[in-house]
Amino acid sequence: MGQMGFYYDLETCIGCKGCQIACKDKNDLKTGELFREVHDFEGGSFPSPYVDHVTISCNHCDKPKCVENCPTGAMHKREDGIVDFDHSKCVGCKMCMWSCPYDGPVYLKEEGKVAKCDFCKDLLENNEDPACVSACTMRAIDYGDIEELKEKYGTNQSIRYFPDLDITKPNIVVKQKSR
Amino acid sequence: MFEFLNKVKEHKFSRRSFIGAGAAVTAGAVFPASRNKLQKLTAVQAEELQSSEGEWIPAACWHNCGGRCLLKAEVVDGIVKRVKTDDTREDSPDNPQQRACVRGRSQRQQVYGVDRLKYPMKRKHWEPGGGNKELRGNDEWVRISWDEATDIVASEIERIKNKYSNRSILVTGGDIGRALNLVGGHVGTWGTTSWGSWRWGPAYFGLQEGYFEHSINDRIDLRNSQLIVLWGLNPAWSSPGSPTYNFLQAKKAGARVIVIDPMYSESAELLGDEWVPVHPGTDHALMLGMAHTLIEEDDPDSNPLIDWDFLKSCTVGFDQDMMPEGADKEANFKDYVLGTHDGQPKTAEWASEISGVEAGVIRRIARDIASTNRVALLTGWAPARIKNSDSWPQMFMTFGAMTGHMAQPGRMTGVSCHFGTGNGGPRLVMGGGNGVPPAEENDVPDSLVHAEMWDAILKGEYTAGYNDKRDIDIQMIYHGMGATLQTRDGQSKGIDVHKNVEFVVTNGHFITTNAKYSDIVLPATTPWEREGGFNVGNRDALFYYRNVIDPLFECKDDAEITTEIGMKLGFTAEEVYGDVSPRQQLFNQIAGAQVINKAGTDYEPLVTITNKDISEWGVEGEPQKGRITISELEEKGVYQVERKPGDNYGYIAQEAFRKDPEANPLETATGKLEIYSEALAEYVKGIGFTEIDPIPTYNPAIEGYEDTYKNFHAKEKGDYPLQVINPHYLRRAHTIFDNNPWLREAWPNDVYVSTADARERGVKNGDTVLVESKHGKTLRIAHVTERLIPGTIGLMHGAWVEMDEEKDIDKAGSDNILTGAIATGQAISGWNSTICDFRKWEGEDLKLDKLWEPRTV
Amino acid sequence: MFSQEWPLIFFTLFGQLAVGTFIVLMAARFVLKRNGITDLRWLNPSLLALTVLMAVAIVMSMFHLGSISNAFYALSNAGSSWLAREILLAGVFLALLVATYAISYTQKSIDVISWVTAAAGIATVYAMASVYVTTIIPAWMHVNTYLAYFGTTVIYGVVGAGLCFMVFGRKEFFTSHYVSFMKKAGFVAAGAIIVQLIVLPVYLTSLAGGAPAAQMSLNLLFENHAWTMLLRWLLTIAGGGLLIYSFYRYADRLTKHIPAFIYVAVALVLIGEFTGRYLFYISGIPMNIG
Repeated sequence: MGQMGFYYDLETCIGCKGCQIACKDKNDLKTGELFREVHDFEGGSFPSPYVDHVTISCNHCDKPKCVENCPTGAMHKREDGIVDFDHSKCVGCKMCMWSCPYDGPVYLKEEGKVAKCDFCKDLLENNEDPACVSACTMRAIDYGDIEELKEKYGTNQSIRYFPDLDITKPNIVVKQKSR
Repeated sequence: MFEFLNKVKEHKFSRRSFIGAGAAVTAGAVFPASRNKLQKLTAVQAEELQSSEGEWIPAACWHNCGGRCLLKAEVVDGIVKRVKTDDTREDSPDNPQQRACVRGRSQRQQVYGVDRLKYPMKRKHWEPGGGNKELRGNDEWVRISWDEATDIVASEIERIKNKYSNRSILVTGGDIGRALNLVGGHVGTWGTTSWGSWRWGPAYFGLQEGYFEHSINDRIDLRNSQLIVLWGLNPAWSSPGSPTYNFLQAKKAGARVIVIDPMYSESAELLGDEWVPVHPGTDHALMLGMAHTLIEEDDPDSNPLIDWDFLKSCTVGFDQDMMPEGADKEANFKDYVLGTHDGQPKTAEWASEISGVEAGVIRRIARDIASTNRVALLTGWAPARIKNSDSWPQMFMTFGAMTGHMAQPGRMTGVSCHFGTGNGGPRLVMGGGNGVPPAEENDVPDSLVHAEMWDAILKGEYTAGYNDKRDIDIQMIYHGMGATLQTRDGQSKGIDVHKNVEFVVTNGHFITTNAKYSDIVLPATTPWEREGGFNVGNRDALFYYRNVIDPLFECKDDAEITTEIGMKLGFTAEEVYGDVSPRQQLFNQIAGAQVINKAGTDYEPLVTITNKDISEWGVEGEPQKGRITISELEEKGVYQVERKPGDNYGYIAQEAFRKDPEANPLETATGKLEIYSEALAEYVKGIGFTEIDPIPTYNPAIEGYEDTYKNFHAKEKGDYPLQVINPHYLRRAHTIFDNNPWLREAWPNDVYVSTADARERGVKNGDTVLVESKHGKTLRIAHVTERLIPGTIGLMHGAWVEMDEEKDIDKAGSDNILTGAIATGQAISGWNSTICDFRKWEGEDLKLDKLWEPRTV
Repeated sequence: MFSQEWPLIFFTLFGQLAVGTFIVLMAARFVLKRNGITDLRWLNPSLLALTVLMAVAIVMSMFHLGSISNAFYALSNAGSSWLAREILLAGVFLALLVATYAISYTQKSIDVISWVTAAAGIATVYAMASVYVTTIIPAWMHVNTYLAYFGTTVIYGVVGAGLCFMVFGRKEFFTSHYVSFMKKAGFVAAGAIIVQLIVLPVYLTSLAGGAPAAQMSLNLLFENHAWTMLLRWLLTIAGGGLLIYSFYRYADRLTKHIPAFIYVAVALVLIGEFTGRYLFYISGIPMNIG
C-alpha cells in the first residue's frame, strides 16, 4: 500500500538546521541524539568555493537492512512503507545501527534502546506534516508517496555524498546542485 | 546501598537534568508542579503526558534577531511538550507562513534550561561596598530570598547615591530606571550598536531615518529587480525566518545576484551568481573605485552610465555645478573622486590595492550596475559596524544616486537588515500601547558612549560632545536586561570595570556574562511565563503571544522586580509602575492594535471587541469593530496582511520625492539627497570623537586592512596581519541561546580561517587555535575553509566569554575579547575589522562546546 | 567508533574457544579411540568446562544489550537476522553441550550427539561471522571475517584442547598418541594462521579500493594501530611456532612434564587472537554520508 518518502531540494537548503532542531523537539532528544541531521560539506578553492548541505534522516528504504538485521523484529516496515520501530521490543543491540549507511537509527543512552525517525506518524494521522517538513523556512523538504514525489520532482535519488543506493534503496527524491 | 544509589541519582538530576537534560517528558524528569515546588514525573505520568493532546498556545519568540515568527507551544498540565510554527494559513511565496527558525524552535531548551536562574543569588563574598571585588566572575553563588535581594539592591542604591551621587549609578538596560528616576536618576549608555553608521547618519543626508526606515522597497517589488547586489549581508545567517525565502522569489523571478562580502556566505551559495571577496572595512574604497569608473567612462550620448537627471533633480554635491549654496565648489564629490585637488584619483586600481578586488572586476561590476535598468543595491549593517565608517552610508547613497537606482519599481538603494531585510516599508499591522504611564524624567543627563564607556569609567572621564569632556565616577552598574558586558567592544576593559565598581546587579535568565560578573543576580521570567503581548518583525505580520506556563521557580517579571525595588526605596507600586494590571496592559495592546486599510492609505482597528470580551477579561475598555475577534487572535497568534503583486500595500521608498522633489522635499537642509552634507559633518563633529568631510571621502578604518601592514605601500605586514569579522551565527541571536544545548550541537562555533592563512601557520582543520589581537586572546577550534578572503578570519558574534583568569585567555570565542573600545565619529561601535593573528594552540585542546558543563546554579 | 565493544569481544572469543575446543576434543577422542585408548578421564570435566565457558560467553553477550528485560525478543526475527540466528544457534550449541555432557556423564555413547553438537558449533561460528558480514561496515563485509572467526576457532580449539588435556588429564595417562595428535593439530592451527596471512593482503587491498569508510578503516589500522596489528600477528605466529616447536623439542618429556615453553606459547596465542579481535572491532567504521 504505497511507500512514503522524502523530497529534498538541496539546491535551496541553506543548512540552517531548523529541521534538525524541530525533529529534536518533536522527539525530545538529548545532545548526541539526532534522528535528522544536517551535514555540511565545503569544497572548491578560493575564490570559487562552494558549500553544500545535506539533510537526512531515516530514508524508509525499500531494502531496509536495519529491518532485515534486527533480531527482535522491533524494526519493521509498515504497510505505508514507513520503517517504524517497536520500542517495547528493542533490546538495544545496535544491530540496526550497523546496518544503516545513513545513521538513521540512534541509540538513546538513557533508555538503552534505539529509536529513529518514524515519519512523525502521529502527525500524519492528524493530517499534519512531519515536523521537519513544516519547519523548513526554505520549503526545501517535502514528503509523500514516493511515486508521486518522483512525478512531481523527477527521479533523481542520489546525493553526491551518499553511499551506494543499492545497499538499502532509500526512498528519497533529491534535487541537487549541478556541479 | 539503595539509598546510596538514590542519592547518586538525585545528585545527577540536580546537576544535569532539571526537567531532563533534554527537557524530555520522560520518567524521572523534573517539572515545576507549582511555584517553588518540583515534581518528579513517574513513568505513568510521563506516558500520559506523552500521549495526551495539549492546548496549542501562541508563545513568544521575543529575541533581538529582527525576525519575528510564529511559535506555538503545546501545553499539557502546565508543561510544554513541544513547539510548532505557523500552520495557520496556506503557505505560498506571496503569503508565506511565518516559520520560526532554528533558534525559535529550540526555545523549550531555553525556557526549561538546566541552567535557568531559579532563585535570587548573591555572590558569596559580597559585602556592602563590594567586599573582595576581584572575585567577581569566579565567586560562588549563594541562594537568598527575594526580600534579602531587594533589600540589598535598595540599600546599595541609597548608600552609593548618598556617598557619591546619582551620577555614580549606571543603568545599561531594562526598566529599573522607573525606580531609580524616582530617587534622582542614573547614568545611561548609548551608541550605534548593530546599526553602525546607518543608525543616525542617514537622516542627516536624506536617506530616510535609519531605525524604522531603510530606504528599500518591499519584498514583492524586489522581484522587479534585474540585478540584486548583496553588499555585506547574509540573510541566510543574519535574518532567518522568511527573508531568505523572499530573496529566493526574487531570484526565481529572474534577478541576477552579486554578493560582495569577505566571506562566501550561505546566501552567496543560494542566491549568488558572482561572489566578490573584499577586505573588511574597505567597501568605501571599493565603491569609490566603481564611482570613478562611471565618471571616467560615462558619456550621456554614447555610453550613459550616470543618471544625470536624477543627480540634478534629487541630489546636491555631486559636481561643482550641483553644490549647495554657500559651499566651497571645489569640495564636490566628483572632483574628489577624480583627484582634481588632492592629486589622488580614486581609480579602480587605487581601490583594488585597498579592497583586494581586481581593478577589472571593479570596472565590470560598476558598468554592470549602471547599465542594468532595475537594480537593488542592498547592504547590511555589517560594513558600517566599523570604526571610521561614518561616511560609508553616504557613499552607498551616492553610488545609488549616480546610477539612479532609487525610488522606482525594482530600483532601490539602502539597508536590508533586521526586520526590514529585503522588505522595506511601513508596518502593515501593529500592536497598541499597553497604557503604562511613562517613567519619571531621568534627572541625570549623562550618558556614556558604548565604545568609550569602559575606558571612561576606568579613567573617570567621558566625552559628552565636541571639546566637552566630563568627569564621571561610576560605582554601581545595574544590568536590567541585555548583554552589555558581552556585546560592547573592549570586553577586557569591561571586565576590569566590573571588578572595580562597588556594586553590580543583573536581572536575567541565566548566568550570562552580565550576571557572571555581578554581585546580585535576580531571576527574571521569560515572556512564556508572562501575561502576553505583541511582537513585530517584518512589516506583513503581527504576532500575539500569551501566557504559556506559570513562572518557573522564583522567577519574577522585570516589572515586578523594578516595582519591589522601588517599594524598598520608599515608593508605592503605583508610583513606580502605575496601576494598570498586566491583564489590562495586554488588553490595551489588543484594543490598540491597528491594521492597514484596504486602500492602503490609513490604519483601522485590528481586533473586534465586544462587551462580553471586556467582561470576560475583567478589564476596562470600549467595544470596537475590527478584522478578527479576540478569540481568533488568541488561537492563531498571528495576523498577516494578505499580499499580492500590484496590491495597495506595496512600497517604493522615497517614490514621491523622486517623482516631484520640489513638492515632496526630504527633511534635509536642501530638501534633497545630500552627497555634500554639512549637517552630517556637523553632527559627527558634535559627538566629539573624529570628524568627516561633508562629502563621502574614504577614511581608512581604525584597525582596518591598511593597519595590518607595518608599511602599506611597501606591503610589509605588521604584528597583526589579519582582520577579524564577526558574522552573526545561527547558534545565537546576538548572545541569546549561546547556552542552548541543541544549538550548541547544531552550531559548534568554530573560528573560520582561510586555507591559505592556516597553511602558513601550520594549522589543520579541527586544531585548537589561539586568536590574538592587541586587546585580548581567545581560543577556538579552527574551521579551515576556502570561503574566506585570505587575510580575514571569522569569529562568530555573541559567545559568552569564559575567561581562564590565570592565562588571561578566553575559551569561548567571545568576539569582544578581541575588539578594542575605540570611539570614532558618531560613536560607532566597531566590530568587523579588528586586526589580529592566530596560531596553533600548544596547550590542551578545546572540548566541543556541546560537551561543556552548563552554568547551573 | 565501536572500540568499547568488550562484551562482544569476549562473547565471540569465548564462543569460538568453546566450539573449537569441543571439535578438537571430539577429534582427539576419535583418534585416540582408534588407537585403543578408551579411558578419557578428561572428557567429562572438559565438557563441563566448555558448557560453563559457553554459558559465560552468552552472559557476556548480554552486556552488549542496552536493555535486557526483553532479551527473549532477540530470537523473533531469525527468519532474516543473522544476529537472531547467532543467538539462537549459540543457545542450541549450549543446550547440546549440556546434553553431550549429560549423556557422557551417564556413560552412554556420545558418538551421535557429538556430531550434532559439533555441527551446531560450526553453525554458531558461521552465524557469528555472518552477523558482521551483513552489516554496512566495509571492514567487516569481507570473507576475511569468516576466515578470522573460523581461524580463531581452529587456533583456540587446538590450544583449548591442549589445555583440557593438561588441566583435566592426569600426566600418566598421556601417551605418545596424545603428543602425536597434538603435533598434527598444531599443524592444522598453523594452517589456519597461514590461510589468514595469505588473505590479509587481499583484505587490506580491498579496503584500500573500497568505500570511504573502508579507507578510513585502513587508515585507522595503519595510522593508529600499525604496531598493534604487527603485534597481533607476531604473537600468534610466535605462539603457534613455539607450540609446534615444543611438541618436537620436548616430545619425549611431554608425557611426564609440561615445559614452561608450552604455557608461554599458549598465552601468546591467546593474547594474539584477542588482539586480533580487538582490532577487528575498532576498525569497524560504518559507511555514512560524506
